[in-house]
Amino acid sequence: MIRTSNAWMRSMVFGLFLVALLAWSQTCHGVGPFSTDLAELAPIPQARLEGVRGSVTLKLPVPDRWEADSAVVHLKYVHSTSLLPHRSQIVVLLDGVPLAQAQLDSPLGMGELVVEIPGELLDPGYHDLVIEVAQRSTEECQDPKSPELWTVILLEASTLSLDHSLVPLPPSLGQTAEMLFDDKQPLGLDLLLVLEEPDATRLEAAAIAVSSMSVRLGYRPLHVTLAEEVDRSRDCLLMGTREYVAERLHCSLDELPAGNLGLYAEEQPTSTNATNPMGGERALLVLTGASGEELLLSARGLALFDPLPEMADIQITEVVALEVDRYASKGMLRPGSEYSFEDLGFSTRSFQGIAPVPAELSFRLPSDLLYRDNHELTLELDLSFGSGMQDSSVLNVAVNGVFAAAVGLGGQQGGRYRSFVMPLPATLFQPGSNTVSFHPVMAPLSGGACEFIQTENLVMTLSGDSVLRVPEGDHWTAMPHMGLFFQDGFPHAALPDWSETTVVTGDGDLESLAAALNIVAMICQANGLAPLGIQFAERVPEQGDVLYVGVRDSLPQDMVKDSLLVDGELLVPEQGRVRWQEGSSSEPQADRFQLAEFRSPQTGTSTWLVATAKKSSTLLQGVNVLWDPGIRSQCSGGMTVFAPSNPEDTLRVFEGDEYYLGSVNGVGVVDRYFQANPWLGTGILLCGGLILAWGLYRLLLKRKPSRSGHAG
Amino acid sequence: MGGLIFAYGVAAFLPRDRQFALGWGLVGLFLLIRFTMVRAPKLQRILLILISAFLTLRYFHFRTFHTLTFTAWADLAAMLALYLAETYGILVHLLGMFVNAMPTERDPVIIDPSDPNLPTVDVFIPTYNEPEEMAAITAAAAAQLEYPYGKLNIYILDDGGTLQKRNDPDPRIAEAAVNRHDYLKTIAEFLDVDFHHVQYLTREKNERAKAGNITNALLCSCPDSMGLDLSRPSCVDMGLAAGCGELILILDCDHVPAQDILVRTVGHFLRDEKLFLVQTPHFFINPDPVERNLRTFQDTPSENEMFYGAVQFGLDSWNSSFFCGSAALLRRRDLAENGGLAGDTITEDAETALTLHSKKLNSVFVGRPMVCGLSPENFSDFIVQRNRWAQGMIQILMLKNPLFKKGLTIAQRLCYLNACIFWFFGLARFIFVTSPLMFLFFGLDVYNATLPQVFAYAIPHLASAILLADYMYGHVRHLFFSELYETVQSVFNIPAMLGALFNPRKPSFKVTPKDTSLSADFLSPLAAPFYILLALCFAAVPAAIYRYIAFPLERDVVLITAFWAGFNLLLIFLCLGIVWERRQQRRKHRIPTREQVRIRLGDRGDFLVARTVDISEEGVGILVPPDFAAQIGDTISFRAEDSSNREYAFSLEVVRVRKDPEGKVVGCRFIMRDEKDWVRLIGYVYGDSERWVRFWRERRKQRDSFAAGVGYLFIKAVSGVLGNFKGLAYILGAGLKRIARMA
Repeated sequence: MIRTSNAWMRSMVFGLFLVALLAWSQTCHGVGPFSTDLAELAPIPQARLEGVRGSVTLKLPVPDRWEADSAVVHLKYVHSTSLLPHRSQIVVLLDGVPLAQAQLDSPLGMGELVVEIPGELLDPGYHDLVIEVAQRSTEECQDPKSPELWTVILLEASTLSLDHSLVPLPPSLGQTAEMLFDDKQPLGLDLLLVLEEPDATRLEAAAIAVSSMSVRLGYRPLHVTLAEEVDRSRDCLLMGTREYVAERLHCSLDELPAGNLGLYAEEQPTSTNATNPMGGERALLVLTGASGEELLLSARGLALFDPLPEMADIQITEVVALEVDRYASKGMLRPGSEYSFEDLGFSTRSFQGIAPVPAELSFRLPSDLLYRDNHELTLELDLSFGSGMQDSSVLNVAVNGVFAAAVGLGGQQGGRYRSFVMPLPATLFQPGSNTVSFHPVMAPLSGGACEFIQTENLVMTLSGDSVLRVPEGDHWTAMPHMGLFFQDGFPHAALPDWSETTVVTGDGDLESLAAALNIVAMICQANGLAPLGIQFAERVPEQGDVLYVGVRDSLPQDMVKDSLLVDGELLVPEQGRVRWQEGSSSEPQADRFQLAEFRSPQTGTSTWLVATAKKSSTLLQGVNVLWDPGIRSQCSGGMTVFAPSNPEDTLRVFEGDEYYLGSVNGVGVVDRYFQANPWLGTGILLCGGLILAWGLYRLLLKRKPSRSGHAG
Repeated sequence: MGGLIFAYGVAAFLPRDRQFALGWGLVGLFLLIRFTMVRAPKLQRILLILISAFLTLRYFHFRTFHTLTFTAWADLAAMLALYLAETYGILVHLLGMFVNAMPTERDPVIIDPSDPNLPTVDVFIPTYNEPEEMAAITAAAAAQLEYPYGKLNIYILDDGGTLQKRNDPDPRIAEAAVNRHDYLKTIAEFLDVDFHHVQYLTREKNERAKAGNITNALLCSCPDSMGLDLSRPSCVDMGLAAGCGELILILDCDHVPAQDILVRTVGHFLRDEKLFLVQTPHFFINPDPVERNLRTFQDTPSENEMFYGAVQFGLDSWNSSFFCGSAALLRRRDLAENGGLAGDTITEDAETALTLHSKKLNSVFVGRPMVCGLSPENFSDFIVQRNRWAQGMIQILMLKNPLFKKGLTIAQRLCYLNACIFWFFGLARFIFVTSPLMFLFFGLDVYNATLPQVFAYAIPHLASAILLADYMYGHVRHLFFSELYETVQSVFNIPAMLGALFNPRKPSFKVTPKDTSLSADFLSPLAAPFYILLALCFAAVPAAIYRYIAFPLERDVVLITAFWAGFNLLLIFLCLGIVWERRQQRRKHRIPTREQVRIRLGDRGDFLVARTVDISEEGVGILVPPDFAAQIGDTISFRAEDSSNREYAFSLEVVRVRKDPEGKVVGCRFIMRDEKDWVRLIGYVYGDSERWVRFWRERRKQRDSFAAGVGYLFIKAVSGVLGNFKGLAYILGAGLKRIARMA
């Protein structure tokens, strides 16, 4: 027992506590060791290495703003017990430098390897962490494809721990942006937003600002939280009038940068030599505006100014945004168009060897694009291939992992195809992201056991001039389909500037507002465009799509009534994906996050998406969980529910009442009604036919007497 | 409102499974209505038409908006060709529905032949190069028409004996013309004595073929009606003075009239002052080349029965029944105002009707067969005849433009349009035969649809079209016989059609020769294209197998085209059976009959009742009891009564006796004492229209199920192609023997 009678002793304890707290908070926000399992870098749970030689390459990212001290890889693997220990080994290399090796000699076939990586090898950038095996099971001539030659690297059980510290940020918007929005950051960016008076206009400005950041991050998460005070241990975005900003930074107006978009950094030669309130490793971005509209202007400037200039601050006076249409988002193809592979980021490349690594062509199709069964996307390939390959050599083309077509590559002479037309059934494609992969499989003309096999001639080049032709299609989709929202924001971000959507924040709680901003940022990252047309409101509008974010008590009654959110209580049936039954008797779950999508009760062509929870903290936690693509991909149907503390085990999906968006025949209202009510529609059709038949019958009967008896 | 809903439903988007359900659900509904709603036949017909129209238009919408894509120029050409052929077929199908929406079956209008107020009638029998005996038979039958004496004049209009022909520089032609002239003139003079007035008439020159012949006769038979002088040199060898019949009955030389034809047609003119035409069916006692060579004459209705037994009733309901060149009664006044038979096209008959319809005049169709004619004997003649009709109707389309002709009602325009565009079938049918081959041989993308889409859209459309055709025409046209007739004519129809299309003012035509003898089997000179098509269709089999294996992504298309090519192969087999011409054993065609007669051996004893089996001008087959002791050479007294209670008595000579399950069939030859006997015989054989009605009815009873219909076609196809190959082998063998002998 320690007696602490002295006040200074109590102060010291408190101070130590603060230091510990500060140290802990530094650790929580990315300073210190970064640990992950190797499956996060792969991303596959394990890698099976077969044959006499096999390898797997993992990309180890070291962000620009990290200074890596050292790293340790704890590798776990299982190998075949048929291997000859003295001729089988595992080697770990980083960027071609061997770091560790071991024989594959465990009698039980299980092994571990600890690999230490010195900091000097961990410069900022992507590093190839290669795990390579050499395997033999016989001293004699070894069949390279013998089935007993295998080793499985257990990536989920293997770990990487990287010690690092943050480097000071340069006093330049451009350079800081590069470091802040570096897609090598494995945990993404954790941003604290301090916003003066979160009214509708300022929230719009905030949404634009944070979304532009998430777009710059590429595919890494951006976790946004709101606060009323700046936190020096975190990267911050401060938005408001100059007076508000000065107050938050505890400085005078004169000491603030002149521009309405600025960066505070250590030793920044600001125009006014203002005191730098931040530590050098943390960024403080400032957007100012005398009014909400001016703040909106600054935010738009941040969104569109890319790359940011090599200055500490700039004054944005005017922003002219180009009009966007529904095909403007990242990687989105326009139906009825043709694209060269180069346009899609696939440059000319060569493949060499028996089974070279496939290449992929990725693109997106609109979520509501409807193709009929007989529609085809067409590839026109320009390729050439080497001579002396077996007739069994082929280029296999797969769409989203399904084999679709092939081109023969065999022959003594080699050859070239110009504009080789390869139709791909549209049924193989899906709304949103699609991948066409090219798998060359090339075999030498001759080769036998233990013979030298020449593989240098096994070459194929696929030209970037090759073309992908996308046919026209209709825009029509069955809803609710939450998966489409997470694909490309459909329907809310069908126009990628969000100009047809209103975000309604039911309660003014900072956590609820942060949740709304996170959702918008998440979708904008998928689309690659900032929401320059977004609108925030406190009340649900009469027209247009709505994204409602707020605690359950704030939900409007008519919204609740027409959705799966019954009476504000969350009823969660036991098992997975089920049809919602009204009056289910399960207990309400207070800790659940709930996402529901349904047709607007006001207009048949609008959609409401509601994110809610009992408490705002649960709401924000749930939204943060959605940054995980694995969780997002499971969100579908009309309602998704999970506990943010354990989403994998608690996620449930429910179907909603079906409705349709789009138009096929130009009579959208009728199309949608007919689809949603097939039996009634069929009945109407039959009745229409009967009416027509009766009318024709009466008309013809009237003529008949004048014809059957006598003419005239 | 119903129309809007209907139109929306045609274009409505549904997921594939719902389209499938809709399409096949409607086919099921069609069958349900077809077999249950028999008590309301008119409403039933409208409903069935609407269901079929819906499925067809739904398919057409899908075909137009979702299957036409550009992949390559060659593909596009093939794809568009097939699309246009299908569009044509669908248009004809839809127009057919319109025409036959509510066919009119008229109540008979029978006149009293003793009524003194009946109008006068002139009978025109134009003839050119037909055998003189044929013209004599027709004239003899016409001379016995039931009509008041003095109100009927018959004219043999001989274009084979004109002055021009008789003075031909070639002495053989001149001699033949003179002989013909003398013969027919003698016939006319002979008939004129004891029967209605019969006159021989020819003209100076052969101008404008049959149309010119008839127009000339109009002038000569009543010059005042057309304001011309009787002494015009074109009225050559005219007998009595002009008859000026108010009505004109036009009979082709081989169209022998029944005695009641005027009794059943004249009355319509008395009821309607604006009536210009009463058309009656063309009825043939001999099989056409298709029926003879495939041996279907006894089992299936004739090809023309669809037109005269169904379509004309539909045309009549729209006041669009048009003149078919013969077996029709017209009003002289209207013909005269028109300047006779119009002659811009070679189907002057239809053209005249079009013109008179546009003058707001009316027409009527009386659906009872009352003339008995002859089909072309061989395939070549058949093709010549059909090409003439095709050219003529296309000329009407191009020169007269019925769709926009002033004076016609909308219904009439559509009816004439239907009649004209029907004759483009040759090109469409040829495309249907070759399209699957384009894909199987060359991989051309002729039809962009998956197998499920074909089953959701195309098959219901085809099924409903077949079912509707069966409903509307099944009693007069058996399964796939339309396709057969179109296919066999297609190759030859195309040049004729294109010629008329691109040069409508110039195409010439050949007159259809009649009564050509077929003394032995032979291969038609028009057979070659079918061997080529056969080779191509056979070659499609390995092509299909190869494509099925080598292009797995195209398997559903390969299956569709292979099945399609298989169907075409069936039709080609049938065509090969048609082009192997089978001999015609009899000089005169026998008509099957089942009529009660009375006979006795010699001229003594009681008459016993027997039944006829068949009859012609030469003889009659009679079913007698087994104990009827007739021997070859015996004489039989024969008594018969027709449906109008007219009595006939003839002497017969037994020429053949054969056993029959019901007794014995005695084949007899009529013994003619003199020419008057012969005339009476003509009256007996051809004068009773009830005989033709029974004949039609017998053949129409034999209506098969779909499966039986397909099986029947299959059997005929196999026997047809085997017969053809046997014939070829025989020709080859005979040729080899000849070569061996020469060597």
